[in-house]
Amino acid sequence: MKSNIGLLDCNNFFVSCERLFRPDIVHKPVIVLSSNDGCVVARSQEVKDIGIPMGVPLFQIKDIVRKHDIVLFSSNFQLYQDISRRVMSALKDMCGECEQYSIDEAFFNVSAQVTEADMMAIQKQIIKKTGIPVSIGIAETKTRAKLASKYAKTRGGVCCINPAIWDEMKTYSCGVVWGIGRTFSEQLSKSGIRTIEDFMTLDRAYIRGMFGIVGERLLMELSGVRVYEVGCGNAHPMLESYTSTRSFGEIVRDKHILMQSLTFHATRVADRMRHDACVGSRIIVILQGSRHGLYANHDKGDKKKVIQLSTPTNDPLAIIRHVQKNLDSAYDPNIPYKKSGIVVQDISPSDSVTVPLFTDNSDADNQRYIYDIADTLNTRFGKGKVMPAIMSGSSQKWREKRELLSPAYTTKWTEIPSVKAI
Amino acid sequence: MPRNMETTGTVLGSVSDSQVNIPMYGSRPQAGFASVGDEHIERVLDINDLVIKHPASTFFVRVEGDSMEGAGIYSGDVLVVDKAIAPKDGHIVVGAVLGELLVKRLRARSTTFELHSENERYAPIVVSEQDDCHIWGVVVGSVRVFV
Repeated sequence: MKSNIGLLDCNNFFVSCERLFRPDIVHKPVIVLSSNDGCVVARSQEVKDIGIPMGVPLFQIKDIVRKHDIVLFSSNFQLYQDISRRVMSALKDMCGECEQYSIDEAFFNVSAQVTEADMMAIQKQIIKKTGIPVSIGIAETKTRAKLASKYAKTRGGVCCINPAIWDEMKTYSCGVVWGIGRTFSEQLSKSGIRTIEDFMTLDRAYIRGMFGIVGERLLMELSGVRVYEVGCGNAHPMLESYTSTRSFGEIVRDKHILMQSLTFHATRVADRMRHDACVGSRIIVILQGSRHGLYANHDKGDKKKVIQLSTPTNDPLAIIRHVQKNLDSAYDPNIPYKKSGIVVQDISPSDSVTVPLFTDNSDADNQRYIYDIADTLNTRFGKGKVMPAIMSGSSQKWREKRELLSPAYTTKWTEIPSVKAI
Repeated sequence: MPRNMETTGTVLGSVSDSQVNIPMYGSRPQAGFASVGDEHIERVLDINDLVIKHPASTFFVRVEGDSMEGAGIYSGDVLVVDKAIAPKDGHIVVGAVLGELLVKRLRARSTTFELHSENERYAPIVVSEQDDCHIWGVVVGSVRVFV
């Protein structure tokens, strides 16, 4: 039987999470800031109405923040991740298996007969159960469902695409379509293609010539031909790379502190790779110098050191060792570092790895054993309880500045919300 | 350094790594009767099963104040709050009242509701429709740790 695809999208997700236990700020303008409290990453409707754009640095809007008494928060990912898990689980209870697409979005299958009233019931249930307002878009394809969920926000949060709605949507700019990035839409715009309708009049072969197979698929999806199915469980395609980077709370010059930050990133990417059961054989160490104020001329600080491994790995200690060996050639004591990171590429599934015949692999099994234990301990006693020794007495310098962090309301017993018995 | 060096000797070197895995049994192999328990234990009791019916919508909060002592809820107790349950007259609830989260006994009236304390020193809160007030969740249990 023919089915449709739904996209559930949490409204102003980070802001909604911050408001969950704070009824006092439900009607106030609220902003959530990026790491190091640098830029705006989430805005309440009130903030959107004031006209503050996404991504703008905090220092540029200091006056407006004061004038409108805007409530500011650092990113509290522990909270967002837990609330996200709850929303996804509530959706799954009602709609069956779904494909989580990002922290606040998920695709799910629905029957072709489903009505807006059905979806409103689901929307209401999710708001009630989790406290998070959501929008739902329904259409024949993922690409159209994504558009529908955008449209839904302007009309009560639910939209099943029908011909009348589609006629209106076709006049939207190409840029709002999922998968048409900024560069793509700029290219289109140059050749006079501005709206979705313009795009859809283009010849398939022409699009393939210009934008490759991805562009052609996009055209098909927009015209209602399904290319992408809703993936369930482990059906998600393998990532091409794993990345962990972060800006420092303050300038770092010390090599040991730099290495600590890289150890943190190595552990993080390795954790994610082990979780996804894959390995990588190309490590890129990223060091970035500061360009702000005093250090405006230090553009030579940026270094990318590529390390090619003979045996692919997801072992954090192995990655750390390689990074340590290569740090000397990348590090310069005269550079005020502002950011570091690790990227691992050339990803393959871990069960497909062939161990080279003449490699000393003697420690591999022991390492795996150590990390299984470390994973168990960290799951049981909290993140970061077991970590590589270089992290001990770890400097706070490279850590994020998160001065406006809300409590870990749902993940730490010492920080659960209070209710007054008065 | 392989952990099991002393048991396998140095001659085998790294080849011995495959022997690291040690199967775990609940009881030791022994002469005489085998332990009859092992195959019957499927899992142990988990307190979560007792207090949590809807994991996605259950939250923990801590009580501050003495207004609910008559209901056996004391300052410092942890309440289990379920947002999925439809609040009814008589439920103990967490209400969002004028920007604050309060724990109270819900008393439904024909068109509005009231929030009562279980301590005579506190007067009921009468909520009218235009007030900025809603029921945040239903308290399904409480946890107090003594030691």
